[in-house]
Amino acid sequence: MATTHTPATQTVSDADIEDLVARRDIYSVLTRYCRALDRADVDLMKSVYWPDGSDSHGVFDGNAAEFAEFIVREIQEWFEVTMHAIMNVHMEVDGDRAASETYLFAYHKVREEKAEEIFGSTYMKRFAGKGLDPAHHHFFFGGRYLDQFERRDGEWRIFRREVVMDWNENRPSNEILNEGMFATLRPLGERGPGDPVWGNTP
Amino acid sequence: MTKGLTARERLGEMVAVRDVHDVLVRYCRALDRADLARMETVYWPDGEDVHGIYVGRASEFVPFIISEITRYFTMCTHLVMNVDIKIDGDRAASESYLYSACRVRNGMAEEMLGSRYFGQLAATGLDADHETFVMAGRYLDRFERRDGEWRIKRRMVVSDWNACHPSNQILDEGMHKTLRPIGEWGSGDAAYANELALYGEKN
Repeated sequence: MATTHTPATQTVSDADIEDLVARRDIYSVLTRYCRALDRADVDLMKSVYWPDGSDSHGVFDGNAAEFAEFIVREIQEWFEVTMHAIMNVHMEVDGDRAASETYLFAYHKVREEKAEEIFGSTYMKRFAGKGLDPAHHHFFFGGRYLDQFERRDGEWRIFRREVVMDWNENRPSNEILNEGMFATLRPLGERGPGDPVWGNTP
Repeated sequence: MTKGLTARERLGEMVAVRDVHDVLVRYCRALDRADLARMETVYWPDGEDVHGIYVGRASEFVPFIISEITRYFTMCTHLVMNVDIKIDGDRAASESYLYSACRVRNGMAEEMLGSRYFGQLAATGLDADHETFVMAGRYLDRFERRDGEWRIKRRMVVSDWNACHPSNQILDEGMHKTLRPIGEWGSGDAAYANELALYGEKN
């Protein structure tokens, strides 16, 4: 809503504007990564990193272009659905370089046949014969992306990413898709070109 | 993307992005406080909403959702994250990740969650009538700027996942009993007194 309060009166330098523009462009890269992962789009994922960049992701540590191929393939093997939500973006911009810390809250619905591989046997034994839907479990991953960005020819991309895990929480899924209010909630998100986000342009 | 523009030329884009973001947040504030007057400023009168539980004109969706939300829930929180906004002149498109937590009003759980889940819970001896669920998805929005003001022209809500659990909420014991104030529906919520227009009068 248009504000009726006294406007801020500080002068804005060109450097301030450059900094704001860089922050917006960097934030767009951070959200593009999440979209590429959650929609399983390998080309979009490759556009997040410089080709000579690197990713230290726990499950993978190495070249970023190889990581893009790896993670977009594996995420579909392991999980039915993922959502990588980012918050608390702290950025420092210095010329053509930037560093950021981004808080991550990520949901993963684990494929039934992958549950033991992903959770380990200690967790799975606890649920044998119990729970409402013991076949399906999800976990939340709480952590942070630590990124180094570079700007080349005017474009910002990640040069180095490291993922820090702060906590995780693992649970029976208890998802309801076809009953009660939830039966009305459509469309459902998809991986690939069928998701409605691709048609949502100005 | 927007290569070739100077930083100063991109300032207009950034102001538009900020104004669109304000509308996205205002929607959540209006919903979580059940504030009809505020919700009426989110959409254009000829806007539309594809919300699953409602598909049609925004002008009819607004009173519908504000009355239904307090009928179904005692509390809800709608978080928007990963907000990706693209501006093209007087039009914009955005994707926002949504994480919503809703505490179901006693007696409404079976209607909300369906009889299969409700029956299974009751059979385990768990309190099926105290339920908090998380519904997560994405808002896909198209905005228009008219006479300098941005509002939603069309919203679609995509559902990605949900999780339903008996509520373990503690309000009156341990550390939790010290955590006050508690959020409320309506203008009694502390957020209203924190708005600049009211702050000087109440503090």
